[in-house]
Amino acid sequence: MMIEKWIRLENKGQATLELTVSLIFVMLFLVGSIKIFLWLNESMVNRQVDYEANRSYAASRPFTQVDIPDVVQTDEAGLAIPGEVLVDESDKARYPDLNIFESKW
Amino acid sequence: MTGWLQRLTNLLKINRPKSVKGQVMTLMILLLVVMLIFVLATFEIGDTSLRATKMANAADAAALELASNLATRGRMMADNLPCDPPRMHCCFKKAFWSIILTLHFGVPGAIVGNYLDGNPQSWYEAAYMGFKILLGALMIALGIIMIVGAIVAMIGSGGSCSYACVKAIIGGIMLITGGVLMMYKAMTGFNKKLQAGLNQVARMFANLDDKSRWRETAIYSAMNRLVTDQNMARDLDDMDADGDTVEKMPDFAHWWYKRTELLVQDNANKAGAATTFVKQMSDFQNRSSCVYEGRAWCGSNERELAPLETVAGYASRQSVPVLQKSEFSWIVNEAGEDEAVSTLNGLPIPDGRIIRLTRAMENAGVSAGSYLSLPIYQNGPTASAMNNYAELECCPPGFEDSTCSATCPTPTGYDWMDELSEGLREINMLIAMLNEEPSAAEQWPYWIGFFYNSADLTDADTIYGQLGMYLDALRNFQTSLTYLAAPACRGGWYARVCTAGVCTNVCGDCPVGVYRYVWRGGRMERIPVCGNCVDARSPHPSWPCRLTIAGGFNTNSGITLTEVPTDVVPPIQRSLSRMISLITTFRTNIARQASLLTSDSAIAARLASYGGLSPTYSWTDSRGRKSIRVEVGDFLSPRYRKRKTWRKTCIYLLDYADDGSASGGRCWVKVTQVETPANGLGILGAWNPFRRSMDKTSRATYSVNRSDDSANIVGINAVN
Repeated sequence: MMIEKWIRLENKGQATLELTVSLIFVMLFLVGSIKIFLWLNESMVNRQVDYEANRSYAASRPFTQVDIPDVVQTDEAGLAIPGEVLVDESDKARYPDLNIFESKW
Repeated sequence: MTGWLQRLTNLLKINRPKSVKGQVMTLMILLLVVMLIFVLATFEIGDTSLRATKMANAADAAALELASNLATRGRMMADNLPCDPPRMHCCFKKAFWSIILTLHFGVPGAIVGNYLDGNPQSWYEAAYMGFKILLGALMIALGIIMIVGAIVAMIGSGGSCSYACVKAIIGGIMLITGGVLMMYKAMTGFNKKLQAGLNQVARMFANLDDKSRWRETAIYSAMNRLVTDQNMARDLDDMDADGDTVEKMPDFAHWWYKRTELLVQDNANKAGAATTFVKQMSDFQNRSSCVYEGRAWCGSNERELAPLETVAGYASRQSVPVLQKSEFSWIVNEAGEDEAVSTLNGLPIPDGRIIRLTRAMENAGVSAGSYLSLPIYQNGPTASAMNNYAELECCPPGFEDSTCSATCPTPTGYDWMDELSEGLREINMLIAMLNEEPSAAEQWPYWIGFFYNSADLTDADTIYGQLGMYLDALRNFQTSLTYLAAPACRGGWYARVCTAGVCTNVCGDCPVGVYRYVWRGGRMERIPVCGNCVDARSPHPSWPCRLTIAGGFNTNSGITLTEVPTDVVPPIQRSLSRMISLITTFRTNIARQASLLTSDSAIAARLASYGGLSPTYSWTDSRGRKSIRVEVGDFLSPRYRKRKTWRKTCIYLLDYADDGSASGGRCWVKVTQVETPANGLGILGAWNPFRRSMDKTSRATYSVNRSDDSANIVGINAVN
């Protein structure tokens, strides 16, 4: 009788144990997802803001005078490809690398 | 059965599960919901970002295209100005209208061609078309396999084809046929049809005036990047001109075709109005030229304007223009150029009726003020002075700059009468050229600005404004002549003096500070007795008194005192009335026709069902109803203007730049996208129910720099 009770207790503990372990992983997964979600969306929003800010610059250069080497694509001959003015994503403050273990909040 | 029902309805049974498995699954499901929310939010942000990018690109591209068109035209017009060194204005006298019109008509009007490319293929459209091509290819391949298999089987069975073999061959043929048809339809599908329809629209664009074409091109440029309407309808108008009215064409192409058709019709209507206008101009030219240019028929047809003058040795001309000066007359010499001459056909040039009077007044020492910063009358200038001045390379006030600062001295003796005569001559030169130009009516946008400025009716750089000033001066002159003929010193007194039976009104010496009282308008008024013998109602109050007090004109001038009030003035008054009437009528016609031609209200009303001048294109698909609205700023087209200053005529280029500022910039494009989610998806709800309207505006800047051979400066100055 005691054994049966013990076994029943053990079954309950198993579920609790599994739940506890799974909760840890679930929470980790959730936190990681949130971090990825925030990183991705922040990057997208920042990129859109920078893109909008670049419109005047990009559209105000004659094709032959695109002279922003860091952000412009070049062809095989090293010449600027007209109209390919890209958003500068080198600013790590605005475009940080993804690191789910690092928190800035 | 009873036990099962009890278990089902007993909470205790529910709370006491037989197994503890599945606890994690519950959490995972909850987690999945959260994850899905994240994914949805990310998708929305990304989608909104792409949407914003696409709209910004569309607005920027349209604004840049508009600015490029305007700057290109401005550059062409600037380059065509015949000035050395290059300037934005040129001042000259001779043949300037021919230069202006040559410049205008010489600039390519229709810059159309690769603007109207097909609608950029959307990913799902491309995927759909690719899928159909792939499916068609698979059907063909399967059909070939079936037929080949049947043939192999037939050979294997000694040449006999079983029922299954026949079915395989027939099926194979049907599959190949279906596959070919599917591929053909896919490859000649939506985009090709859209392209075909828009090619026709591009051809129609060539029939639009510049401003309409540039505006429509900008609108198209934006629409083209945003409209993804895949709906099609029967091509009843045969817009692609292939004779097939049964085929289906994209709704977007239909819409553009109809809209452009209305614009072309409106353009044709305007050309009709322009034709009427040119005829009215011709009528004005024929009549008004009689005041400065003697013509055989002027004496009879325009007798009041230019009656026959009896001048010894001048019988070859039946009429003498009323504004003809004896010092010079303009002719077209053998080289085809204007030239001032002092004799005509070897004979002296007689004064016209008005000039005879004004010359007599000047000889009598009567100074009469000025009109348009010029003395009303003076003797001269000589023919050689006029020729020298015409050749003089100089820039009058208002056009002086570092490259052209020479002063333009007015020839001695050049007066308002000369200005009036010259001004009418210049206007009539333009009219003559327009009448000779077969395409003048269609080219009205090029020359209408010379006639009228709806924003400023007193603009002296327009013929309407110029004639308005002439009209004011003529009316003043006419009023002065009224008092010359019958001097009446209001409030003063004058005597009637008769000499040898001829009586005239004479102002006597005026006692200053003496008043008399008259009963007027139900009350007593104190009126100065003559004062300084000035009638305030006369624009030139010194005329009557000086004429009479001084004893009249010098008889050597050809006009005696006797003639002034009785013989000379009434015919001159009739001539002036005729001129005033002609100019008034012509100005009325200018205002009416120019308003018809330049007003956008008529075309906006005609295009009402197509969104007016700022159209909205709407369509419905499985995702709901979408609308794209494109607004274009009321941009200014580069244009030449003429200014007559100090007898030098200058052409200058106007509106060749736009600063793109939010306050003053007029070269802008705004696109607005409105999405109404589809309803009726049942349990699935609505497609993307959170999407709402979004708009993007792009303001373009452009300018033309003649001192630098680099390309026009075109760009985006302000965006939002």
